[in-house]
Amino acid sequence: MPHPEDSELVARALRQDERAFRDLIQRHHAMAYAAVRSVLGDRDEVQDVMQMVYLKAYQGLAGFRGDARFSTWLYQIARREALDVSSKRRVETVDVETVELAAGAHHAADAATHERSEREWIASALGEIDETYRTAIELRYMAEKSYEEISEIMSVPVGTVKTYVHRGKAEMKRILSRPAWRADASKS
Amino acid sequence: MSNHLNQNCERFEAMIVAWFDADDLSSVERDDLNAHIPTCASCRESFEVTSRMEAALMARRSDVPAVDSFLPVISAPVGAVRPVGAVRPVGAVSHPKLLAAFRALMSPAGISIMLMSWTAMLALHFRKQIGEVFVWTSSDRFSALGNDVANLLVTISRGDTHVLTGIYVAVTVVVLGSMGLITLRYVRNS
Repeated sequence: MPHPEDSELVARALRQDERAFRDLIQRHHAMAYAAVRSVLGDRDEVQDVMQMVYLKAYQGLAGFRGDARFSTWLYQIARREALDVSSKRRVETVDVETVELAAGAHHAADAATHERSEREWIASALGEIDETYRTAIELRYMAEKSYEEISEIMSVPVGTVKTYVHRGKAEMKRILSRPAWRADASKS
Repeated sequence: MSNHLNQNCERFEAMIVAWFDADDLSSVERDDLNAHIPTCASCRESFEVTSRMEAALMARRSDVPAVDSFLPVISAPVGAVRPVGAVRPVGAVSHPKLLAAFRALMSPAGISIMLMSWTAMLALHFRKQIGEVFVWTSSDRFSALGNDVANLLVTISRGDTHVLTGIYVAVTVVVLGSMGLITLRYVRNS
């Protein structure tokens, strides 16, 4: 059985078909989550923001006229909500040295606790690069979107998306090539 | 020679990042990179870091939680949250602003304002009796003020009861309307 188009699911959702809305959200959940994470990182507010995003999408579905793709529309809601929360509570940037000092203070007796998992370091590196690059990378990897899909979601040309991803990864690589990362990477 | 090698490494450095995107490198470039990496320690290390980074990025897909954990809010009882513009249940209020105004009037502040307004109107209506009470209680100022206001309204209406009633209604609407708007703004902001 072929998957229904987004427009068909939207029409059914507008007829109070909650299952259709659920399917629609399920289809684009990873993208919306990646969009929110690219702005807020792994902060506690992500859960609340995601609920708000879906609530606003549900309430405003009738306003979706189909001029753009549903994914683009949902991405804009997700990004707006995340930025709104981010601007209300300024992100406390924590640099690598601070993290290491804090970890050392709590676990000074155990030298092994200085090792940081690759996942944490990746998150840390992602947090340091330009937000536009980060968004493109999160959509590419976390949401597993193609360049063409990211192009439509972010409303920029495909070539620009490739540049974002490439530059973002080059920047991350530069960050991850710092001695601290390399030392930990060799231990793990 | 070393300059030549450095230039080569710079070129390969850019290619290493692109390596993991299948459509970002031509087959010729891939072959070049394959041939270069075993011969260059620097590029080999760079390739290793990129490879680790790529693997960690790929693993981020598993960071996405199930959608169910975000949906309880919208799976509230039907009608609690309804898409704007969807087919309305029969008998539902057709204007959201009307509903908001009604809610504002039914709020504690709105009810207080209505009670105060009606009390003022009753006081004006029974000003004579109230005045007498105040005279008995040694204060006739309120009675005099009430009489002055009543006389003023009678003068304005030229004794026409319809006009007088209209003035009462207009004053009530202005008072209730303005206070209702203030309450509505308060409710929205809160």
